[in-house]
Amino acid sequence: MNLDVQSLRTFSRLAHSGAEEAAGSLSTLTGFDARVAVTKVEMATRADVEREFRERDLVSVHIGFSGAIEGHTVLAFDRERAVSLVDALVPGASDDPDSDLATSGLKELGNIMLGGFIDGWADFLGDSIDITTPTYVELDAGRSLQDVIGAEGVPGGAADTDVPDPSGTTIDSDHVLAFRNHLETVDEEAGFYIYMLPTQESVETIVDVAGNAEDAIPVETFTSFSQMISEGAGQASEDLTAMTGIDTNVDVSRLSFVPVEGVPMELTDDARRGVVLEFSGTPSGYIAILFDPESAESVADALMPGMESDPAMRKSALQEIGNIVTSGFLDGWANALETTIEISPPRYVDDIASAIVDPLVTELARTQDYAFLIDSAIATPDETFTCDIYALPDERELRAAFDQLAPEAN
Amino acid sequence: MKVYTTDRSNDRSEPERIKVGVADYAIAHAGSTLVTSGLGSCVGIALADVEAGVAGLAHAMLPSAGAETKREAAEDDVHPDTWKYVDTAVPELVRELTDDGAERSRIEGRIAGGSAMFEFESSAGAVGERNVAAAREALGANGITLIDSDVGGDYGRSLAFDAETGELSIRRAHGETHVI
Repeated sequence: MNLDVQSLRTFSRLAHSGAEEAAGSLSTLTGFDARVAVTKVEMATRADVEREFRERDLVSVHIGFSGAIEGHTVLAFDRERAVSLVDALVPGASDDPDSDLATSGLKELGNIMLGGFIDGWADFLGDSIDITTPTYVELDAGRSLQDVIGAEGVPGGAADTDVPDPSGTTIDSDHVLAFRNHLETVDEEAGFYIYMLPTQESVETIVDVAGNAEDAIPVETFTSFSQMISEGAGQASEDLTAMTGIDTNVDVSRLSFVPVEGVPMELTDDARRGVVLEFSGTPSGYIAILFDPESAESVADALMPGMESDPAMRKSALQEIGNIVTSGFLDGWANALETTIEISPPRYVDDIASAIVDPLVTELARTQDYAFLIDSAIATPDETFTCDIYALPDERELRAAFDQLAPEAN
Repeated sequence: MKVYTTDRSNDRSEPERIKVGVADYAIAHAGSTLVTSGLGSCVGIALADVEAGVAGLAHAMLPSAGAETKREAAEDDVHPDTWKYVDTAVPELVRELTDDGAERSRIEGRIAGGSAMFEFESSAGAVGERNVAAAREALGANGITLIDSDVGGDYGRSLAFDAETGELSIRRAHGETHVI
């Protein structure tokens, strides 16, 4: 399976307008005015997607689709949000959230929202897409996505016979293209998520229609790159542990493709401290290493145990940490890409999280509409601190770097 | 983008707090507050006709759109990138407000943001500053009086814009807030 940036843009646009359709249906049905905050195309492995589902306390409605393209869509919401939705749909039903009345309300909502989401793809492909009847699923920690979709993703609906067992295609694959749309109501942060997991064959179908074959990169390249990012995060985690004496793990390591303006919206308006650096080479770009205020204090303490430190010393301790994490994160890239990546001195920052990333994105926005966003989180098992890493490589240069990862593609 | 003004066919009232994303805008009426967060080099353009009780807030990233975006923005359909650029966002925001009962001569403009948080080696420089200059120019060109501004510096801002009073509250990272 090959992918190109033009196809990714098309995917992103279709997913975004599909999510807007779904948000419109939600408003009509429930009175909740919702809007699409961010649409991301995640180049993930099965494990990545599963982790994302497991980490949240979500209830969800699953619908399979087949026809022009095949795969699964999932409408997921926070448990509390689900209760308020049920109340809006079926007044009184939320008294017993596990009742058939309550879950059937959510299934109907899923049916209409996900149906609206899929319609745009059918229009784009000029072919019909059938959806199966919805399944209500509580995604608790004990169940993997495999259980959920493999066992129940294709319930006995009219399209049942048309849909091949998806566990043999999408979900068993190491490479998954996941479309993740974050919807929010205008006055609350609480989220709805629409995930779409097309089969590899379906991705190819769309690439054939939308893409530029000459520019296409084997999907394995994206996976190799994801792997490189994970290894970089792992190295950064080891270095962080060596410096602070505190055990750390890589919690998140993700590569996604987002409209540039969507990047700051991935962050909140809470205060963050850390460093911003510029890197140059193939690729060049920007990196932000951010800590919440408590984490920043913990890290500075760990670096200067038992010392009376003034704010200037704590600031330089964080700068040093930023340097170490960045080196760990990027050194592996330089090796894998057989290039040199120069890193600028770290600039200390203590500001609104989304405002820290805004100038980095703005620089990229001058030449590109979409960005490859790399986000990783390194955390200590005992919650002493969390370190968030955001890297934004230049899109064209990253594509050149991809060629280095997959020379056989040329 | 959801606009709360055009559809009065239902009884749902406008929410009290309306979020504006990056490269985005919203219109609100007296009783509601428009909010946007994380302005670094981006600029927030807040326009209000207090007498008509209508206000609009845009969050733009870059000073100027390419010719293509401008041409398409001039047609009926609003180009999706209109709100990314100051020079296309301002006239469109003015049009939205006047369509909703605002008098151009009564519209008061306030701008915030456009800081220079980092100096990048690779950068052509000072996007924040250029965003602010573009906002001043676009407001002037559209006959809008600029009442006040809170721009520049090396820090981020989050905004809350009261549609009833036209007051723009600007919050910095550690809670310092001031109103223009």
